[in-house]
Amino acid sequence: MITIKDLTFWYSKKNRVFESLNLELDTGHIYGLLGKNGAGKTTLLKLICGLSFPKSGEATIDHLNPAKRKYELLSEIFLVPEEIHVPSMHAVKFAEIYGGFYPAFNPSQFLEYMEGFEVDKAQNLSHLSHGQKKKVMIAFALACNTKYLFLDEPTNGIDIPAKATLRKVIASSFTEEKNIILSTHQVRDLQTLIDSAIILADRRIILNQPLEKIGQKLTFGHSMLSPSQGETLFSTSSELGPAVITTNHSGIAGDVDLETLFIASISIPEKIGSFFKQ
Amino acid sequence: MDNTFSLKRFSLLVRYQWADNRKSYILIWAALALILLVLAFVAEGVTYTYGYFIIVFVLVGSVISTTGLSHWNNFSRSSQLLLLPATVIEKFLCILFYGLILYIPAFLVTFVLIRYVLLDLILLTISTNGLSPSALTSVVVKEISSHNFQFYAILAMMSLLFVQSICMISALGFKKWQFLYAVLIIAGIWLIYSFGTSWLMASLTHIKGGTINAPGILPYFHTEFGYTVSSGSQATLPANWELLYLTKVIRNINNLVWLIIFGMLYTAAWYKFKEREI
Repeated sequence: MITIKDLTFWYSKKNRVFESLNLELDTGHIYGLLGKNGAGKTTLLKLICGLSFPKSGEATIDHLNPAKRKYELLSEIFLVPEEIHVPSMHAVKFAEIYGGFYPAFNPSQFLEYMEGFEVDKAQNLSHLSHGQKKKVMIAFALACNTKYLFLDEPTNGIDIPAKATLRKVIASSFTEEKNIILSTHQVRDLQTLIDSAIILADRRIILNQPLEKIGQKLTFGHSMLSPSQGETLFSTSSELGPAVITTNHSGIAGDVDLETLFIASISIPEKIGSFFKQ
Repeated sequence: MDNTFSLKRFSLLVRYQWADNRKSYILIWAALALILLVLAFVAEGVTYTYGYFIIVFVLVGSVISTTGLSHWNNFSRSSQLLLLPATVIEKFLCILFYGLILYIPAFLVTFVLIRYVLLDLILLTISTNGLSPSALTSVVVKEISSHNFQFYAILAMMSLLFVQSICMISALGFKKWQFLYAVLIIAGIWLIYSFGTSWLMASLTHIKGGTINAPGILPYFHTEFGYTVSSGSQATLPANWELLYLTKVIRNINNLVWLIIFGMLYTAAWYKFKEREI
């Protein structure tokens, strides 16, 4: 489990990124970490991985401090950053050297995912395009079978067919023992993949809820298509007409429109936050 | 033990470091070979040339050790190194493996090949000044086994350990201007050492030995004291046995103190590496 307790962090004292942040993320979930550009998504991942250290409070993974960079923890986490660095070598060699560090690395899985992404495994990795490098690194990360996987803006720079493949391979590699956090500001790309949403804004977490629970409490729709029945919490314009969030009194979980939820969360954070605290 | 040091992980790290920095290492080695070749030509016929070689040895050794530590502005590259499942001590030793264990023999081989073999081949081609292989071998053996060479070899090693450890601390401790900071720290420590030891030796022996060209403790171990212990038939007994004994003691204490300081400096570099944030 990932636990964040009263975490405060800043790059400069005047501009705090997080203030008394609290968060618990369990295994068996694919979390969508959503936030505007500069909201602190990458910083939060860095703090969870131990690449940056909290100014106060703590971040732990399975009760271990990631900042200590112990082998037993490092072998269970993998971070795919937004920008990818690959050495100058072929995929098989890459898998042989880098995969050797990860106890559960599966080379055939890696090649299978590479094939899924349609990346030429015979080509030198450094000669690949940015999008292809990203696909290689995502394929490698999934094949490492670490308990915790963090993907920072995974859909940035990859083509539309690859986004579908990405959703497919992540879903197929996921097990109940794993915890995947996908950080993105392109909500639609991963809407069908994630099962819990974490929304970051104003130096804090506005919302951290499973989509099922959100769907049980809120109804999403467009007033033109489906007139709402509950109290209207939020409405905004969209290409299909006004997108509306209303309270759900039926108790039956409906589909969650993550994009509208995200806009609502950053527009009326107090209202959304307090609604889920009830 | 497996969580502290594993030979398997260490060998993977050595391969990883090579894969990641191969181009830099080859370029540095090519530059080293070129500089040594130029120096060999310039130094041809000049008796006192070790100083230049020591400077090159120290500078190149420091550059190599900081090559794997100088990518902190590249998030994906630096996060990959820090999050690689290996212990901090393994990663640090891997950097020293390239900067010391591999570098020293590589330098010596390049030095001998260029200063003697290549230069001799060139001289044989363009003139009759070259030596036959057996004569050349005897020249090399004689020079390497000479007291002069051994004295400068120890000096070169001590200088490398000093400059390299400071450069590593600087590369790990500062976000920019690392080279400038390293130069300032080295100059500062050297000045304190030079004036401190000159004052100490002058106080103990009542002889002013320090000069701007030969600062610190070095002048006290040259022939001005009237002893050239290992120079065979030309050896002269020291004028003052007490003085000789005192300088020997001080020399050994000096070397011991420096070795302790180097140990502390490398420990500080390891600590900086362990605590490095990105």
